[in-house]
Amino acid sequence: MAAATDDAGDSNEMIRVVSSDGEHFEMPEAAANLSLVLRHMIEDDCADAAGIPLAVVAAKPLAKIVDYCTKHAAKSSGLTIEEAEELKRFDAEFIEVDTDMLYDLLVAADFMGVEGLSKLAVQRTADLIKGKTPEQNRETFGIVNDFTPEEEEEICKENEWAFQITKPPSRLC
Amino acid sequence: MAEMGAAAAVPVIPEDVVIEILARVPDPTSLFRCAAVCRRWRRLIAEPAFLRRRWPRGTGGAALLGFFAQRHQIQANARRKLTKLFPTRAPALVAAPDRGRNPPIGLGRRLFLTDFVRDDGATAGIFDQAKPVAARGGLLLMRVFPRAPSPPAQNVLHLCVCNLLTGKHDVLPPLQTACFDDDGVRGYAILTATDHRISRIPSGGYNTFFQVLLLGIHNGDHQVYLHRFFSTTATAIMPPSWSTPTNCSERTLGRVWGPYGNRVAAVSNGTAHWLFHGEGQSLYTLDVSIDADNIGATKLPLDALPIAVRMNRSSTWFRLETQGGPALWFFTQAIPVVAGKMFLGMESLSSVCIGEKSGTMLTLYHSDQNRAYVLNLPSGVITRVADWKRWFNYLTAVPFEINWPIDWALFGTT
Repeated sequence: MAAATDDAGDSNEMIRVVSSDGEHFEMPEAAANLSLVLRHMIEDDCADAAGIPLAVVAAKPLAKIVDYCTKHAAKSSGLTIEEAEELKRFDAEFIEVDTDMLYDLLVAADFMGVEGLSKLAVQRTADLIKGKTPEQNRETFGIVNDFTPEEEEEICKENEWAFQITKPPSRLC
Repeated sequence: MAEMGAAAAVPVIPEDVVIEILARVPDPTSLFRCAAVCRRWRRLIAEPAFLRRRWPRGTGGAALLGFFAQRHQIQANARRKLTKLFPTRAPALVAAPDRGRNPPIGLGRRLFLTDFVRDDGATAGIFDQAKPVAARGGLLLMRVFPRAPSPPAQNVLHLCVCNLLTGKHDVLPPLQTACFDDDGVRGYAILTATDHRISRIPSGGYNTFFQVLLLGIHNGDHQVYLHRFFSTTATAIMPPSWSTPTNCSERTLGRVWGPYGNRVAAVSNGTAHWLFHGEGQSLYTLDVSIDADNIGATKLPLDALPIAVRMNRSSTWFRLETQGGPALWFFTQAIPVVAGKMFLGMESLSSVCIGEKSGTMLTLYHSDQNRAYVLNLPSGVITRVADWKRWFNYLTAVPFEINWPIDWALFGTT
């Protein structure tokens, strides 16, 4: 390994990233490597002092992502059982966020290619969906009921459940 | 902006991320509800590739979610231990066996009716001790025991209908049962708007359109009476109420005993059927049309007992089906039961309830109620219900099935 030199390949080097709203963040290279996009940029020597611009990731989620990657990079291999448990606890706490932030994390983690975080955010969203009625899900995730009256009619023909949830309750509530 | 409201934002989440989310929604009911949220989710869920991912080929019976069942009354000294397992006295969901391929329902935590239906407001606690009696088309009919008034009125039947998709429930007006004989209600049926084939909008303060049919035998004249309840009324002035009981024996049957086998009616082509014994070991179905006031009986051309409800000595099942038009019952086929080594004998294996849509039957030995099995009627394959525990009261087990709003044939359940 080129550990003796101060090249970009040095694993102790800090990588700078810039959020869409212009805030700068730093993280160890090992942390940045957890993002597929950042890793490719580093491999292509695009990581310079000015920082890697991330056009679609705002400062708030980026701070979280830097936090996530730094934590996970520090404990990437050869975990003891306790460390693995601690990382699990960290993840569980980390993802306790409101739906706006969860949404931002979903988009950002997907964009940056942070696999572990993507999975975490996806699972959290699925857990939020569980047990909710369609109307509650629309509320939670801000989804508009975009079924046309014709489609509702079709659902009604196919299935009584679907008919009842897409039409009358919203008017009765 | 980071503060961008989710309303504008959600459509921007890449499609494959949404697919990943939907693929991780743990239980079929939740996923079903997702399909009714918006067009995009519905389209993604109805995608054959997605469905194959959730239900790989060969995992037939996915329409059967599980069984709702109430627990036996327990001793005080066992209560503490069970309180941990059962934080509520609402009926529990016993997951159907799914041959280990899908993530099991509930992912480690037992689900209860209260996970599907809100139990709050004026009727909070209504599901405590509730006994499921029938389910159909997403509706669950239960007998409930309201705390007020105290002491509870004698000879009164309280029923509650839950819609597991909307999470709402309706408590029906109490029904006086003083005229019923000692066995109380003999037969149940719950019907949805789908059975009526016409759109019916609930009225009279009800969340859902449904119809409940009850059969009782009068303690005086020993004749069968039908009690009917519609959640909607023709006139908006009167709230929905129980109909005046109709004497079925007078019209059709004469002296009968039963119903035989299942208390829950088989419903097909807009008619509910119960099986009765008549004079001289004859067998009848009582046929109640669900739209009109049309009650009839069909004598079954059978010598032996129809075995839709019992296994015979040669370990085969006979299935009875109604064939369009007038309800004619006949043997369709004998289905060999693919039995594993765990079966000591077939004779004592008894039917508990039948899931019509998925063609499954919950069965157990009366001599060993710790274990229950699901029999897939078309194939004869029998699978142990891992989730069944000795403290479930099999008399209250009701199969709960989902009608997917998408083409079920996509699943390739053969």
